[in-house]
Amino acid sequence: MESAYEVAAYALRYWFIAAVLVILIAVIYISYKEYQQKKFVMTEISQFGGYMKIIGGPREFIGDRFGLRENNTIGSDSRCDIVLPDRTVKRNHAVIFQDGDDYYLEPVAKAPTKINGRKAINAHKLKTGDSVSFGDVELRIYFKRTRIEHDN
Amino acid sequence: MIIKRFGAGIILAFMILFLLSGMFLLSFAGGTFNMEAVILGIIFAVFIVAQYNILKGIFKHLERFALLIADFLCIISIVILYRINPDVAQKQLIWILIGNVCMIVAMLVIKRSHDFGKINWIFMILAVGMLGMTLIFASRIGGAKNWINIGPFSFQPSEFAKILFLIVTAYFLSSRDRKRDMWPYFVFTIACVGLLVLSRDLGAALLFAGTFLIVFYVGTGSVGITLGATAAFAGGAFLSYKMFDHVKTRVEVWQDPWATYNDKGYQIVQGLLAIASGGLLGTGLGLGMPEVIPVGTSDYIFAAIAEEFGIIVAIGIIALYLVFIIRGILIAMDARTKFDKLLVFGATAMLSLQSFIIIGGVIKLIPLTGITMPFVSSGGSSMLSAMMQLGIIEGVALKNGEYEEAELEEMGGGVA
Repeated sequence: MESAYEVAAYALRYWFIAAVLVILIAVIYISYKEYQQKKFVMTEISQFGGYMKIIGGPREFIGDRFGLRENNTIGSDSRCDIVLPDRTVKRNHAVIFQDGDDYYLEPVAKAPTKINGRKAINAHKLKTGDSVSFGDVELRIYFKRTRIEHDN
Repeated sequence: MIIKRFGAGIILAFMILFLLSGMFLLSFAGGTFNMEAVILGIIFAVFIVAQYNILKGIFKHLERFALLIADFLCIISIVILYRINPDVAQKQLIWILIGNVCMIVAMLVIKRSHDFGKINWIFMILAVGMLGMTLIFASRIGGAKNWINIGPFSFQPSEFAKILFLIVTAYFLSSRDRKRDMWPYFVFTIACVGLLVLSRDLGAALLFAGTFLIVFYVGTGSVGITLGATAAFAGGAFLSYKMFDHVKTRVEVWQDPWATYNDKGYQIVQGLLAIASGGLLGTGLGLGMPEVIPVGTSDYIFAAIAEEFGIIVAIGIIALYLVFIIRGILIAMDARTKFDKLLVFGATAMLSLQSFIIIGGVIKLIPLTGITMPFVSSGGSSMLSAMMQLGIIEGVALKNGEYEEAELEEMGGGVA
């Protein structure tokens, strides 16, 4: 019995070492992966000042979201920042740009654009919750209340 | 735009397997089957699984990796303590359970609090009072006067003063802009360190002074005062080396433990012999002789682990402490207020410094000062204070998680 225990304890040394190493590597690997992903999402989000969500228009687009950066061109052309592939949207339809703390919408070349149901011709200031339509596509705009502050 | 939480089940599974196989092996030690070890192992395994899953379920933003590492250190502690002395292991299990309650309380308090404001003055008086009481009433164990006996219980006030010290540090460094407005904090630090030196608790004095230096530099970025304070503490250390005999003994023993092998160097030599006889792979659980090391269950537990499990596992434990520290620093960097940043950073710095001081002492890298190894050493006070520091880290992690989720939700994302 005594010697059987010795053999078992002697053999189990390897198991204990393996277990500790597996735990160590798993902790490092999983926590690193999770941190990397979190960092990616948070930097992605900190670039945007708000987002637009499609609420009306062709059914397959409803619910799509677009993040808003400092300058956004909107149109059906694939070179635009925010692409709305609809027949009623012009190739270069409008621009949303940031000036100070506020965002403005300006249609390009009198393209059919509405803000809260009223026709827009010049640059107009946007508020959170405004609904905007380009051609037949209707979107709602949300801005962040808080800006993500990084280490000070 | 969704942060996905990665599953950590594999870590938990290996931890539980480690615990159960260790306890099952120990139940056959001594030639007869001993049911007690298996029961203790199963109780602890059930507790760990329940604790992890319940906390993960209630608190969505729990910092799971720091919690798992602390749990694993507790598991190693229970296995090796049961090997050395089953009674100590049973007591330790109870302290771990109480420690978890303390952790949850600390977590909830920190999560709800802002910076404690004026209550910090009470904390300061309380901390100095506890240390002063120790100096007057304490009984002497192993050269240091740091235990207070109340009936059958004995506890170490310096362990609880640590938590108060961390909160006061974070409060003063975050709320005062000019350094000359921080004078009550400087007086408080000097009082704490001085009282600890007078009660001959050198490990704790070193810990407080080191934490002060690190957190002060991080909080203010002032090189001049930090260097000045370092010089002052070095001078104080030199002075106490000249003044106190037992400090001198510690340094002499560190320089050459073999000269006084039969007397003062006995502990260090036995620790070194234990580590050496363990070698790379260890002697095997139950086959070494860790019971010959004096204070083998608390201060010298690292030598016992290195003997029975081998150097590789011992290095693995150091690496786990490092991962714990990195997680703590990441949380401190994510925190939104300066108080939270400094509080988490202080708790992390204190735990890392504490593990460094004792592991360095055991392997004869630095002079040995009696201090416990966080989460591993037996002893109620040290387990409770380590768990409270973990609770501080977790509480700020919960705050961070809530802020992050709010930001994500504004952008239409979320945390899964």
